[in-house]
Amino acid sequence: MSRKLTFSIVISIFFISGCWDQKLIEQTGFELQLGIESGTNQQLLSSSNYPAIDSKFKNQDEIITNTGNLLREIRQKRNTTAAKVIDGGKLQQILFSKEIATKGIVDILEILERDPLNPPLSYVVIVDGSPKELLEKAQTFKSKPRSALYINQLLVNNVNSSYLPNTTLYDFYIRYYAPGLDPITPLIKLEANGIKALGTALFAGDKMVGRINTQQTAFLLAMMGQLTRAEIFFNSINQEKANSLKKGLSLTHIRSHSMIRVKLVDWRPVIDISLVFKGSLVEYRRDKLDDPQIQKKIESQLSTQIKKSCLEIIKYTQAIGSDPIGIGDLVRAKYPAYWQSINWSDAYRDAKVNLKVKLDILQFGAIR
Amino acid sequence: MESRNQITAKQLGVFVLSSQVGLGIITLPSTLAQEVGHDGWISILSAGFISTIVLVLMMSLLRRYADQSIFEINRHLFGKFLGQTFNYILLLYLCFLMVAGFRYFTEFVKLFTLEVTPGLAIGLLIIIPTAYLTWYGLKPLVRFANIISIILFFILVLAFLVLNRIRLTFLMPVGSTDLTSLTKSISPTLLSFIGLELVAFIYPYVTDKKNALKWVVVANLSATIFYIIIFLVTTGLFGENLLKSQIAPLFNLSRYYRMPFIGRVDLFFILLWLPLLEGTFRAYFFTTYNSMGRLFPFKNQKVFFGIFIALTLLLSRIPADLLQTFQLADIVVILGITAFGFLILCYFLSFINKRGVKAG
Repeated sequence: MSRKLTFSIVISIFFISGCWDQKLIEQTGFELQLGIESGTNQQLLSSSNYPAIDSKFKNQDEIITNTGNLLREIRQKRNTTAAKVIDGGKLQQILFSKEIATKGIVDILEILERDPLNPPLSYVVIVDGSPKELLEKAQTFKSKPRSALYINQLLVNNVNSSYLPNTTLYDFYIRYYAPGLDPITPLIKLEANGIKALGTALFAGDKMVGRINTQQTAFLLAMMGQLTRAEIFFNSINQEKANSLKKGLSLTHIRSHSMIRVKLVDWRPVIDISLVFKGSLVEYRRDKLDDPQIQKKIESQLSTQIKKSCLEIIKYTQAIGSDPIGIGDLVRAKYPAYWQSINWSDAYRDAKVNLKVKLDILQFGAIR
Repeated sequence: MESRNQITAKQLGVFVLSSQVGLGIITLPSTLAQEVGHDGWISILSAGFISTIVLVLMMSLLRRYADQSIFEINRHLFGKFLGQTFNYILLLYLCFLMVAGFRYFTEFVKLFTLEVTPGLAIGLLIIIPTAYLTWYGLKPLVRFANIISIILFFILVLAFLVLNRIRLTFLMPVGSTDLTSLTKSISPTLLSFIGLELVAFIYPYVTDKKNALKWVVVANLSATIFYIIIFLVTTGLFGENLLKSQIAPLFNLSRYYRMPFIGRVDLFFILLWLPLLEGTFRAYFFTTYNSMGRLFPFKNQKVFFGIFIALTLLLSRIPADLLQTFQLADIVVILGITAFGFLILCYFLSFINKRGVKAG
């Protein structure tokens, strides 16, 4: 039996070596970034960035651009010029141009879900401009790390500060397929000396329909219950000296708790949102902050500012027909009969929103 | 009786659990999302309840006949000729489920890991450890099946890690599906509970039979609870619409989770899926081979075993593609429910024809 066992092991090792599915690392180029925009003749223009490991120069990336009707077709075309076989298994970011995002992106993303070898946690990012230009220019920034690393750090840092939403491929799909819930993605732009995080691209279904800035993103995430460690700046709450360049105040390490209730009044959705913020005051002026009355007054005034900003965001999302907070999802869950009888994008525009905001300043630093 | 086949009642429970959970969980959330949306957990609960009743009746049948399997019971109940005919039909049933389970497993390995490797080569890889364990008997096979506890633990840890991303609204409104759809959905859900009927074939090997009922019911309830947890987590995370389009939601659960310092958590979990999936095939492979040996006592066991392995490999290649393999699952459901029905029928018949029933 032992001879047969040895024979079996030898045979199995032969198969385990995976002669059919082997990928030789030295012959493979791992695509880290994929840019997608409109090309000529109604085709997709795709730019793929992968580290050129065996290049004549050190730390060199290669960007290959091709056009085609399908991403697989473009990948195949890429392989006709690339020094290595391009593999998408380590893809970090998928960058869509704003222009293509307004037409819808879910069909383009389909290949990334259908093929299980593709990573499902790549960031979905919208570029205000051309992803091709952004990737090419990013290679020339001398003071920045390599493009994939730079954009990844930019995204992670801003996601951690709640200035950008954390949207992976799966997050996009979950929100797209859920009735009464719309996707959001980070929005970035190429600038002269770097890439700038602009805020959030708002979607209705899979089409980009609007945008908000980084501060508004923090408030939107607060309403979605996803705000973490944000820093928010406020307008002046007292009359500043007329010639003062410094105005307003800043809170940091802000955490929030969100409670959303929906009800129907006269067959019209009424949404009650309650937000509680807690944070530390880090920049202001000397103002006897240890006096409870003064602190309460500041908290009240800042709450008013937050409320105004949040209401502006909700009104904007109602106007563009995007529901990133998922109010429709709540309505569907609570009033299924009502949900069946309406078109949510119309009902959302008509919904009444009541907002309550409470702010607690937990600390005010080392001076009063 | 060969000691290498003798197992305790607790090990019987592990055997049942591994045979049920292996292939049962892969497509279940997706199938239920298509049938009844987010109310699928009600179908699982109902199917769990029905399968427990089947299990209790089956165990009552086996207890009435002391140390005998369904093969001997059939001869007592239906006479030599008809009883043996039923035995051959049951053997064909085991063969079909074994081959279907084998092919199903092969297709998933191909889809998620080895997409270019020929199915026959993957099949050979899969069958080697199973054949090795089967050759040495039920005891080592069940000991190996204990690995399921580690795998289930890691899957539950994964479910716990994604808990904060679950939207409870995705599971609401509760009970919105009509009763007809819910009733219809119980039938495909029972696919995930098929495996419990194997007890009827290996019951004589259980040493402490008085505890057998307790442990198989515990196994069946554990499978029910596990299915419900996975359904709630996958539905709460992905939403029923996205779930409907997925082939293997449990695989996607690991693909969704981002862990610090680890780029692809799913690659780690693939190591766990494979022994889990093999559980069903392993249980049917052993039961089929063992049953064949009992119905057709061959002199040269080694030759017979070699032919059996080769036939299993070849028969598993009959379905032409993934679609035909999925269609096998529909037949498996019908056959499984028929097998459950047959065992219940035998139980009631045993009160009419009391030949072979143990005294007292």
